[in-house]
Amino acid sequence: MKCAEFQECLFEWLEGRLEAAEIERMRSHAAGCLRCQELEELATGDAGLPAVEPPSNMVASILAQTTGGACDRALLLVSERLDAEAAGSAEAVGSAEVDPLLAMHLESCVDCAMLAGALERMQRELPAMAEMEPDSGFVADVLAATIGAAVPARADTPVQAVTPAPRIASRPSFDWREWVQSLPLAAPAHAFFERLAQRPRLAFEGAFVGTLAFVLVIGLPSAGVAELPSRLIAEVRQERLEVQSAVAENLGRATEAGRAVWSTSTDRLGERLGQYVSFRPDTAGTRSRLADILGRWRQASMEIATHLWEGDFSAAFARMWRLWAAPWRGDGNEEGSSVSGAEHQDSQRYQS
Amino acid sequence: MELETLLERCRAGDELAWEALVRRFQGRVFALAYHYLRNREEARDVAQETFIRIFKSLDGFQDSDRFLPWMVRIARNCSIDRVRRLKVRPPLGGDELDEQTVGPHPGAGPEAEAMAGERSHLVYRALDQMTEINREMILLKEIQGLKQREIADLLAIPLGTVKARSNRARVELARCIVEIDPSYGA
Repeated sequence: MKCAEFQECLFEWLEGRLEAAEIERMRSHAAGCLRCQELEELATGDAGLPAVEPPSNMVASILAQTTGGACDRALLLVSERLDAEAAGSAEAVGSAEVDPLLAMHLESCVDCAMLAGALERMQRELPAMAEMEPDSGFVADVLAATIGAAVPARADTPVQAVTPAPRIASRPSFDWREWVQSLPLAAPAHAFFERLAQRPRLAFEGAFVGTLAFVLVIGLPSAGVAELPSRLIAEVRQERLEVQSAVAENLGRATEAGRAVWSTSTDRLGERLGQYVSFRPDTAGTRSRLADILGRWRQASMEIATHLWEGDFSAAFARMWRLWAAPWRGDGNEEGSSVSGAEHQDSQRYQS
Repeated sequence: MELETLLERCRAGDELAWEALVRRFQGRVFALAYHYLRNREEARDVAQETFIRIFKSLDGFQDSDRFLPWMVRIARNCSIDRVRRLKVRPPLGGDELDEQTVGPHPGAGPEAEAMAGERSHLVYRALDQMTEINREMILLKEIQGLKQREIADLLAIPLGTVKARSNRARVELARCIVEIDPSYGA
């Protein structure tokens, strides 16, 4: 045996994986080779060196800087193994090499050992929580609500007469539900619509329906200005107009179109609301007052929009302030002329 | 009696069979409703509503192997509807529990009942600290014993998600329980 071969086989020898003949060969080589003999003594700990214990937190420190710890993995493996055991599977989760490693981790990690114990205990105890006894009259109430049977009620209350409900046997000969359920694709369609109804998108659907209602009642707000950009680009491409003059001209058109859209939208909204108010079973006086208030609001919103469009923000905010301060009145300038004495009293009453 | 026979007789209009079915599954339906509502009276109403729905749809239900997940689905839907209607709190968010309200069948004996009530109380407190989806995973898989495929169908999520989430939920519950009572895992 040569030194290189001795060094290759040294760890297999120490781990007990060599046969007796091989071990004898290595011993005879070490007896005659001082260097290999020292190597063997170092590897087996017979060299007389003092034993040094590594710091207790060294493993945790190394793991923290490399893989980040194996506790999560170990606990998941414990959980999966419990699942496999519960399913009666012969093969434990993972390969045969995993189990000793898991056992080693659980031996060295107190927290994981405790959690593994908790997982095993949960596995035994949680299924017992699947059932809870309701009170003694529950079955009687269910039967009364379904088949109308007066079965013995709870002990502390007398038997009450129940309203007869349709009995199972007295169903009509043709049941449209049975017919629908017998159709092909009925079950998948039912499951689909059930899932559709359960999905948590109510807010989106509400927003969609609200927008749809707005468009149906008032129309598309951008309808008047939608074609302006494409028209502007087409005109500039055809070089019919200079860019600046085209922009100026189309901005003017856009302004007019925007005003028209706003005016049309508010008119329609007022019209619809007016129609709605007119259907209310109120007195004629209330109807006319509400219609008057709506008209004033429409007028005020038009004025505010015009001020904003023209960039006169102070006037817009002043008008908004007047509207906020006295929402049932018109512009403060014409307050006295438009509100009669009786209406003013009504306004005071509304305000109070 | 076998469940298939029982269902068959229920569909044929046998009132005794229907009573036996209600008696057999009342504890499970009531426990499910209680898990979501944490109130005995509300849970009782929801359990009753669940059985009424089951009664109305029993004719169209044929596969007895799928009866349990079907019943759990109905109970869950009724419970969630009630929780939404009450607008009180999310499922399993909760009242202070009465230990007498949770536990096994009354026939288990007073000592066993008291111990089981204490354990259930601990589990409910731990469940309250978990996320809603993990709570539901624990409820459906660990407590009600549904299969992963059935849970995936019920919650309309992929099977792989159920597999991954169920283990994580179980580990999370173990952590919460040990945090409350370190002696639980000893």
